[in-house]
Amino acid sequence: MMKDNELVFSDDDVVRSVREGNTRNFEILVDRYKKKIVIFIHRMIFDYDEAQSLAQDVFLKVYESIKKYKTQNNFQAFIFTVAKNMTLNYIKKQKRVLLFSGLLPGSEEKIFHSRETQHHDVEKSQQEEMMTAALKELKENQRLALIMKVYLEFSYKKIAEITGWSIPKIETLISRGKSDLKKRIILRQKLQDNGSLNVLKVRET
Amino acid sequence: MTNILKCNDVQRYLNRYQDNELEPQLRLDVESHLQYCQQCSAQLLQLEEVTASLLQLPQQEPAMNFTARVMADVNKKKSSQWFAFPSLLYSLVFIIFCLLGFMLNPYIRPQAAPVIPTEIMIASNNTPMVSTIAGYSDILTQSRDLNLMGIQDKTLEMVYNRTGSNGNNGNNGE
Repeated sequence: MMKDNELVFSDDDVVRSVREGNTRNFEILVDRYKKKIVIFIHRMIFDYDEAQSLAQDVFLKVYESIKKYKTQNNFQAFIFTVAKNMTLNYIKKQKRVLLFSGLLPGSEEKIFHSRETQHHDVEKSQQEEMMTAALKELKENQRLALIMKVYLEFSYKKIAEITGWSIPKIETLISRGKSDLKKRIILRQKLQDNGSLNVLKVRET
Repeated sequence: MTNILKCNDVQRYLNRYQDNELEPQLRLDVESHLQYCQQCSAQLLQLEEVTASLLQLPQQEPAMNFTARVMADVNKKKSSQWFAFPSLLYSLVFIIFCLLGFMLNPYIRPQAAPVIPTEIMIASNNTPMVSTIAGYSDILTQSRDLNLMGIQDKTLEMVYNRTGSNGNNGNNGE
């Protein structure tokens, strides 16, 4: 029997309730995880509107496949596995679109064209812009591991559960990710100082 | 009690140290080293700056009506699942009824044509012959036009002539 204080119930309790037909209780899971899911997807694809839309799809997919979830107290890993897969599929699709559009004359659109036009009130400092640009240039796996560690504060073990990667691999990805970010920021700062920030291609040393 | 670590070792552990992924004893060893090693401390500081810069990026919150939109999708999905089940059931029932009708309708069932799986013995004197097949006594009328020689498993036009005898001339076509 559900009580008013939803915090008393674990994710598994809520899942069981939803499976029994109490669909309304799925809202509890949505409220619990929406912030982290949106943050994760937004940091991966750099498009706020698309991140919202994709996040909604993630929850719908989770609802559809809720019977596949084994109630072993790892719902967080389950939902983020769905989010990770859908986000990476989205990025792959965008790359294919870009590859195709790149064949057309005059097409210079980047993969992550930020359409955050609704958030002009958020003034981006140059530092923020440089960091965002550097983050975009990271390899997907590095970016994914960094985001899960830095923004979601997942342990290496949790990241391993979600991604299927080994812990040494995760450690390497995060370490190299931070190192690459640092190099790219330093390079951009130098280019900015020299007035040559148009050079966007950063070669790894 | 802490172990004394070299800079090479500590630098390998710095990332895990910053991410709080070191075992307790190793963490103490690294901390002890950092207290007196400026080089490793500087390296740790760089890692912390990168993390701090990442965290300073503005965080985008979910839209106000996010949950409502998700639940609308979920309820729509649930409704479509509920309607799908009866329609499948109805389709299945319809198919079963069709099959039953097909099987039970005598007019649809084809009449098996009589087959005579036998060699036909043609009397040399062109007289009608009798061929006994599975209990039937039939008089087969030979006709040159029909060219019955060597015909096997073919349906023939039969003339039943019950002569009161088996009509068996000793030629059993089996």
